Amino acid sequence: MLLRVLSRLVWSLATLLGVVCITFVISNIVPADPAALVAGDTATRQQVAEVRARLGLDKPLHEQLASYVGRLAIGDLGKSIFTGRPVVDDLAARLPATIELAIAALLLAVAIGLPIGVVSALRRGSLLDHIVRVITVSGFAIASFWLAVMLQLFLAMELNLLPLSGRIEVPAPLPVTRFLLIDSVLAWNGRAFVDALTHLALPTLTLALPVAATIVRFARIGVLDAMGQSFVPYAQAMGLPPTLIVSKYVLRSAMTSVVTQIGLVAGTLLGGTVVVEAVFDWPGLGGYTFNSIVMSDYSAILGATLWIAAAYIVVNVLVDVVQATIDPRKSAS
Amino acid sequence: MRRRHALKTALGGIAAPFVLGAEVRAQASRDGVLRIVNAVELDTLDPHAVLDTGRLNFKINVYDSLFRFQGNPPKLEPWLADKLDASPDGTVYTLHLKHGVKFHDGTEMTADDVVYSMERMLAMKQGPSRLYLDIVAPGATRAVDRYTVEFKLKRAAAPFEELLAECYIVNSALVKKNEKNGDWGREWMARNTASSGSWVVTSWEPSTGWEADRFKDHFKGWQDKAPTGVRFRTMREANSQALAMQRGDIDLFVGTLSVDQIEKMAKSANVAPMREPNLRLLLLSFNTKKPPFDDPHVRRAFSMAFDYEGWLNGIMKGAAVRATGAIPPQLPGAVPKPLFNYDLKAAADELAKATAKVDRPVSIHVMTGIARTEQCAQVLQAGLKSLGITANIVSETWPTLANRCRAIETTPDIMTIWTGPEYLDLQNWVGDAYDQTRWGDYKSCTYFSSDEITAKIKRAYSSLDPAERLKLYSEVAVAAAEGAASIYVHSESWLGVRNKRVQGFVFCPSSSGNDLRSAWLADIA
Repeated sequence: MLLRVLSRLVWSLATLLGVVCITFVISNIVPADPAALVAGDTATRQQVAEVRARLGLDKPLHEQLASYVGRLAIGDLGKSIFTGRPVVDDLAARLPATIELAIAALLLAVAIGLPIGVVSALRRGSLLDHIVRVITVSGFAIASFWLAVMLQLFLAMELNLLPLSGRIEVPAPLPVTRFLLIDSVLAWNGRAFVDALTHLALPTLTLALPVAATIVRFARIGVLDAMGQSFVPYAQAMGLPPTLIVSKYVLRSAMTSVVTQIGLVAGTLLGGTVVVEAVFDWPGLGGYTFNSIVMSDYSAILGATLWIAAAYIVVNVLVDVVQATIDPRKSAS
Repeated sequence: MRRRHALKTALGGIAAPFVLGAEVRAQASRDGVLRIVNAVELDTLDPHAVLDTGRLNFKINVYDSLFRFQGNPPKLEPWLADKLDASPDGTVYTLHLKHGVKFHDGTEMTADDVVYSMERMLAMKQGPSRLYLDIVAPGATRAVDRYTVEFKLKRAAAPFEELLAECYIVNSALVKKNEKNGDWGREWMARNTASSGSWVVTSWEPSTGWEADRFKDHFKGWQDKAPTGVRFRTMREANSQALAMQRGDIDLFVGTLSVDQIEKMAKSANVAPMREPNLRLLLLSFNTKKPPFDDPHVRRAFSMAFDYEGWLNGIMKGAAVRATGAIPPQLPGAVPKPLFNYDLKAAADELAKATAKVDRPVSIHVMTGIARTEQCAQVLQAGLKSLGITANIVSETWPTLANRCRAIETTPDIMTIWTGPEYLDLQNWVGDAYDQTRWGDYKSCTYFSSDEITAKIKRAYSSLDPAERLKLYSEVAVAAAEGAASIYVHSESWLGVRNKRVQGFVFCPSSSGNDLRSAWLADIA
């Protein structure tokens, strides 16, 4: 198992390099001029040319790429053309917000989706099962933008239960990990903890509900599939209680597809969600990536792309490990 | 019993964050801090790197400039400067600095800081540098004594005093200490401040905004009930902005709002809409070098295909007046009356006279996220459809649009732009737009010019005779209006909203409402 994980990680470096090359070339093909954008709306052509030379954007593409890969090898992701900050610093500032939101949304989605999917499968054909299926289909169809705005209007405006947007209103705790909930606990700052938690609620709900719908469906299908296996009637015949059969045997078999789905969704969430971040002014990676693309900020685009690719790779490796733990037959194969 | 107890505990645990959270938010709103929406992310703290309205709120509140426009109508007043003397030929200016102005680190501002700031802008060649590069050579600015600065210009420049409103002064000693490899402190200044302004930055994160405390030693002093701090929160989404105002999470919004957004916010009991005269024109500008818009008959036809009355009454709902030309109608020198009105028959007649034929779809480029520009384009599109002309609306971000104006070939057929009062001299509206030596930036995206027009603009720029300048700029504006260089849509009022706790706020067109010094909070004890 360990060898397999290590081998996957080594191959993933090649994948990352490929991602970098492709993204670099595509970014440079797009007809936008970052030097002009840096120089300003009313800069003359000469000023733009000077800025272009200063940023090294006048060199041939292959030279720029080679230079970038060389710096990447020593952990230098370059500097954002617009913020002037190292991209590493920009990512360090943004990623904790995205990771915090992604983890919260995933946990909530699993907490909601898994039990409902299991119960729906166990009560197949019942009124509850039909209602759950209708709701989950609606969950796929709902646009995240619409859901976000509706939750804002209802929970924040009408009921005044939650803040409208942002990540925190009170002075933030000292940034140790940059995860506000953790930093609040470390600083023993209850006010900041509560404020950060309530600010996290709406974007988490917006992301979690559609994901929960997916988990419900896959959990339901997985359980139904497992219930149809021969070991279930055998266990029933052996006199094992139904709850034990489901919790110990059926669920274990059903989790394979659910874990795969969680892995896919986790990758998406860790890459940042532009729409949700825009509506809730969540300072995560989605907005940063979007702005970088709009501004043709090549270093930032590449940095964000590298992170997203790395996130998918790591999550896939974790999914493999979990799958192998759940079903040792996968590890053996 | 145990189950009931567990349920009560669980419910209490779930409810607690909501109750506590509400109290935390209520407390935050009572702390004497003025909270403002920041629609544009602040990506740099360097005042010499940017020249746009979106990032002006930072510059004008954290830094001080030599002069500042105040009030409405705006009046240029000495700010860091005490006075400015000009030589008879207008090529040498002597600036006398106020004494005792302190930077945030407690050191006093001197003439050396002014010299350094000007040299820095010229060296960086970004943002405000374009206002000075034509007229101030590197090394031509010197400190005569501790509080006196001499500017020697390459040629006379009548608006020079106004241009100094964009000359923000940095703490040269602090910046020099942080220079790296002769970069003029560019890297350090992108993330730090070296300022003297009204507010001292306490935190900044591009994605969330910035906060600042009142600088109690500011040379202008403070009025009673001035806010103890300001907090600019980045909010990109229009709906969130509106909801935040209604809820009282935000005290002030000074950005670009549509009339219906204002009406929606104004329904809230704690929100007061604001409307002020402004000097901002909305134009639909033609690329006069690109067929068929190189034919003035085509441009005139298009100018008569826009439903001006419908726009002003139906969409702007009285928040704008008809523009007549490149100069706002409120200013001297404006074209006296509109030359083209909505008349589809006359438009068709003009098209018949044209040598160039409109035999392809035309594109109208608008700014992504700014509803007003899209609406404006749709009005023109509808009029053109009646003439049998297809117009496609292309939405692009402002940086992309501005970038297109680098070259004639990439400049769109028609694009929406605003021309605002960066400075109040007619050079801002006329000279920057129609001087062919300025082609390559968005203001001159029409490429409407000639040797004669350029010569008039150059003469007006250097002339020290106000009457002559007014006559020359006016003639150029009339020529542009007769040549239909743009569809001059409107001169708009400024629309903003404030929470009723905010009092004393004064809008100034030059700062687009970003200067907060006049504001005070009614609920401060």
